[in-house]
Formats: sequence, structure tokens, C-alpha cells
Amino acid sequence: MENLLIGLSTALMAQNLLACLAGVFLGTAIGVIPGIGAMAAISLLMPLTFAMDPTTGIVMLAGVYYGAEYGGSTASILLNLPGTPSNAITCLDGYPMAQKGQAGTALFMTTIASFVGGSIGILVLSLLTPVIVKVGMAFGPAEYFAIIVFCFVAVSTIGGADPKKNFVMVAIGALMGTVGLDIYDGAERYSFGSHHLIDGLSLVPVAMGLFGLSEIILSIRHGSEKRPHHKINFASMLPSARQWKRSFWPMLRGAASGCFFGPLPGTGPSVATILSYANEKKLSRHPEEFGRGAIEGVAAPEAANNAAVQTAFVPTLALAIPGTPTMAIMIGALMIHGIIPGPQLMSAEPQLFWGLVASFWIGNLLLLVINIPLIGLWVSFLNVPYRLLYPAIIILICVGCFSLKNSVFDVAVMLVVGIASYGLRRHGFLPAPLLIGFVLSPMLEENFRRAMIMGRGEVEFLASSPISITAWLLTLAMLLSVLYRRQMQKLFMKFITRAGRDNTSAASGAATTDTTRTPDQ
Amino acid sequence: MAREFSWLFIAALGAAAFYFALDFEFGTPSNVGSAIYPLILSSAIILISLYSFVFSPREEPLPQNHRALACVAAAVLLFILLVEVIGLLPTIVLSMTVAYAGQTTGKYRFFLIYAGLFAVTVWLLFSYALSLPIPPVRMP
Repeated sequence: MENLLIGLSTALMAQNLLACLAGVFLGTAIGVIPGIGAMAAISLLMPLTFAMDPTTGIVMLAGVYYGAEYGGSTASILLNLPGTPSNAITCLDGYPMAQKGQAGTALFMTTIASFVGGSIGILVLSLLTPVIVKVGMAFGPAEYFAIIVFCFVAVSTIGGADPKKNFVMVAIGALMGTVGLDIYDGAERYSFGSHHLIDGLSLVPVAMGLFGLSEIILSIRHGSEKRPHHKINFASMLPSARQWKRSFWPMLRGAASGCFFGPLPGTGPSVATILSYANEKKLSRHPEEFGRGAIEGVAAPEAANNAAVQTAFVPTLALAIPGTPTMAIMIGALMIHGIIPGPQLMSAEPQLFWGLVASFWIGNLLLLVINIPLIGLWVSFLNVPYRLLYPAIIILICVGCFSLKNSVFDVAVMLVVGIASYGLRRHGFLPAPLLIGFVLSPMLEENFRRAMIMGRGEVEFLASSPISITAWLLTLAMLLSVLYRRQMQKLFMKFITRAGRDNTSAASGAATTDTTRTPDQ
Repeated sequence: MAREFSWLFIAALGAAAFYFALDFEFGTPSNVGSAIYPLILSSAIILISLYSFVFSPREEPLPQNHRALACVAAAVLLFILLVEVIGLLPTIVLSMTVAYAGQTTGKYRFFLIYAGLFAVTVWLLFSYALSLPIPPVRMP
């Protein structure tokens, strides 16, 4: 309670409140643009926080994060274009709802579900982080090394992409993380005599190239597509009593799913939303309505998404181990602001830690307060042609990279990484594992070398404690699961194909019947 | 069998990283040098890439968008080359116009006005709010 009061006193400071408001607003505005997810939004807006106090800067970036996650669902519902992978599931029922004239209701329910999921996630974050911190205090280099390797393997093996491609991307990212001066023997690695590379590659240009520039190049061909116009007023947003009743338990179950999967490395919001949707479909008395505009299909995944977004901060803040690429960027942002995340953060900087937790909740409240009246604005924002948006985004990326060190070198790094990322993404290589490899690489190498010093050169020392042995066994289990991947992929594809078929038939059904309100309203 | 040639490119990158890492310090088992970690990573890249090149079937890549790629790359390159020579405002307008050419629709007269207004906004934001020491216009 005392901690929470400390947090509230920090979060309610005028500059932090303003930063949170600005973050939520800008994050939602950027998240609404299809294809620009939370990662790109945070990278894009990170330079704006450099002039701020560290707590204020991080509060703003956290606001950007859940603002962007929320904004992504707007594009999912109105255009059937998910802003982020975790919003993809919202398309399945949100878009059919919009086609039936219930876009306002779907967006309203998204806002409520995001708030409920986020609030429950914050509660779990406040209770779970101190426990994880206590465990983290017992971690030495061998334990950290084993857990980071587990994180790398989890990121590579979970999800739809080819694990071989993910492994290679993690390794490339980790190799990029070795560029610069070695802290142990002072050797210059891969700097090729350039003084720009002695400090290594900066996170912001790498992240902006990976997620920003490559995404723009991939999305430009859609620029001239015509988008449907939606007019939404407050009256059309309010759900009926039946819709409230149908959404209540799915929201809570979705939040529980998000709280469970959020802190796990490699899973995060995407897996939480897919599983909460599948769970609701299984539990529903009307499973046939899923894919045709069932409100539970919007409420549950959105609650799961925001709960997972919040609980993903548990390993990030407690152990400095990010489970998702967005958390990797957040760790980078903390470090840029001179804050070292990990078990010491809570005891060394309680104001920052609890201030951050309190501002998460205030940010969720702001998300609710500003987004319900602003739904109309976000909808009109979606109508701005992409051909006008992307040149402006390119400039913001360039100026953002330039502002890091007032040097065009970082812009050049961003260009090279962006073009390489575009080429790799065309061939099915995902950029997220590369970023996680890049961010965790220095920590992995440092702990490996420290463990070898402590173990006097004995490799067995890397698996000499119960924690490290558990982490290695989990890593082995993950690797073995790759062998059974085909069966798992078949199940996943079966689910997606069925949901897509339901969606298509619902869309054609909606087109041939009517576009008026359904009995649900 | 058609092969995924992107794997060969990645294997070559790994090989280059491995070659350069051979010049770093190897150290001893109890005092690992700066070469070991990059050598492990680059070896992993080479092995996985070569294995995948041989055993993985070719997947159809996403369609290439040459125009978009060329215009976006040229826009960023212009920014790199011009921002310190002619200043922020003209660089932004030029870069945005080149980037805009990456797609085929739209009118340039309206876009130039929009780019000009956007350039002024960015300059005000970064110069005043964030104290970025960069002049709006500079005579080369």
C-alpha cells in the first residue's frame, strides 16, 4: 500500500500526467495507422523523450505502448487490417460487426475490454513483480545465461514462422550486438576503424529500420486502395444490455489468459489473444456466431491483449529479460535514460518503479477517458490516404535517428537495416527475433564470460544450480517441441482456416441481407 | 528441387563475420576472449543457413515493389546527403517529394504545400521543443 502511494505521488505529478496523456494520444494516433505497430510507434517517439526526466520519459513511452496496442484494434475493426499481430484476432469478429453497422459498439467494447484487461494486468504486475524480484536476487551469471538462452529459443520456436529462420535472425541480431569496443579486453569488434561504431550500433536506428522503414516499403502498394468510410456517433457506440452481459465473463477470462501468457517469453499478447478467442468459441452457447460479429470475439481478445501488454513488464522490470520485441525496445529506452532494469531496480529506484506501475493504471484510465469521445477522430484519421502519411513517417524516422547524436551516421544505419529487413521479410524472415537478439546480446555475452571466470573455465558451471538446470531443461523441451511442430502447425492452420471461412461467409451474408442493426442491439 | 537462395546470402554474411572474428582475442577457458562469442554466433549462422539451403524447399517471396524501394531508399539517402548541407526545411520537402513518388496516385502541387507545412512543424518541434541544433536553411 505504501509502495502504491509512492507510485501514485510520482504518477500524479503534473509533468508525468501530461507525458502519459501525450503518450496515450500519440500512441493511439500512430497505432491507428495500419501496419505501424507498437514497436514502430515507440521507436518513432523515443527521441521525443530524450529531453525529459527518465521517469517522465518512460511513463510517456508506456503510454505510447498501450495507446498503440489500442489504436491497432481500430484499424482491425474498421478496415480488417490489423495494426499489430495481436490485433489480428479482433478482425475475425470486429470487422463483421462493422459491416453490420455496429462499428461504434465494437470500438466502444474494445475500449472497455482494454481497460478491464489492462487494470487486471496491472494488479497482477504489482503482485507478481516483487515475487520475481526476490527470485531474481538469487540469480548469478550462470542463471542469467541459461535464462537468456531459453528466451532466445522460446522466441525462435513459438509462433507461426520457420524456427530455422528465427534462430538465424536471433543469431544475426546477437552478432550485431557485438559491434564496438569489447568491455573485457578492449578489442574493437566489427568497427572497421570507424569511430561511429566504437560504441556499437544504437537501438533506435536498428529498431526503426527493422520495423519502420521496411514496413513502409512493404505497405506502399496498398496506398491507393479506397477505404470504407464509417460515421460513428455516441449513441451508436453504446452496447445493449444483452451485449454487456455477453461480454462480461469473456472479458475476465480474456484478462486471465493475458495475465498468464504476458510474462512468458516468446508468447506475449499474440498467443494470449488467439487462445482466449479459441476458448470463448469453445465455451459459447452460440459458437456459430463467432466469425460473424460475436461481441465476445472482440471483448475477450482485447482484454487478453491489454492484460498481456501489462504483465509483459514483469520479466522486463524484474529480471531485465524482455519476452517480446516491444519489451526489448522498452529495455533499450530505460538504458538510454540511464536506468538499469533488473532485480535492483525496485529497491534502488522505488519511486520510478512504483511510479511506472501507477502511471500504467492512469494511462489505462486516460485511454478510456480520451478514447471514447475521440473514437470519431480516430475513424477520420483512418481516412487520411496512406500516400500522405508514409512520406511524413519517413521524415520522422530520419529526424528521430539524426537527433540521437546529431549525426547522419545513425540515419545511414537505419537505411541499411531497413533495406536488409525489407529483403529478409520478403523471404519470410521475421524482424522481431533479430531485435531481441540484438538487445540481449551484450547481457548474454557478459554473463557467459563472467560465468566462465567464476567456474574457472569449467563449462559444467553453466548448469550447476537448480534455476539454471530448470532453464536448460525448458530450453531442451522447447527444442524438442520443434520436432512436433508439424502437428501443432496443422492444428493452428485448421483453426485459422475455419475462422477465416466463417468470416468470409459472414461477410457475404451481411452483404446480401441488410446492414441494419441486429437483435443484439 | 528449387532452393531458397536467401540462405546462401545469409551464410556468406556469417562466413564474413567468422573470418573477421578470427582476428579477435581467443583468451583461455577461464578468461574467454572477445573472439569466442562472435565465432559461436557466426558458426551457428553458417551451419543453419547451409542446412536450410540444402534441405528446405523454396518458398515464394512476397512480390517485389521496385518503385517503392527505390523511392524510399532515395528519400532517406537525400536526407543523409543534404540535411547538413542545405538545412532541415528544404531537405524535408525534397525527401518527402521523392518518397511520395514511390506510389502512382496523387497530385504534386497539393503535396508540395503539405510537405512544406510538415517541414516547418518538424523544425519547430525538434529545434524548439527538443533543441536539435540544426538550421532551417543553410546556404551551401
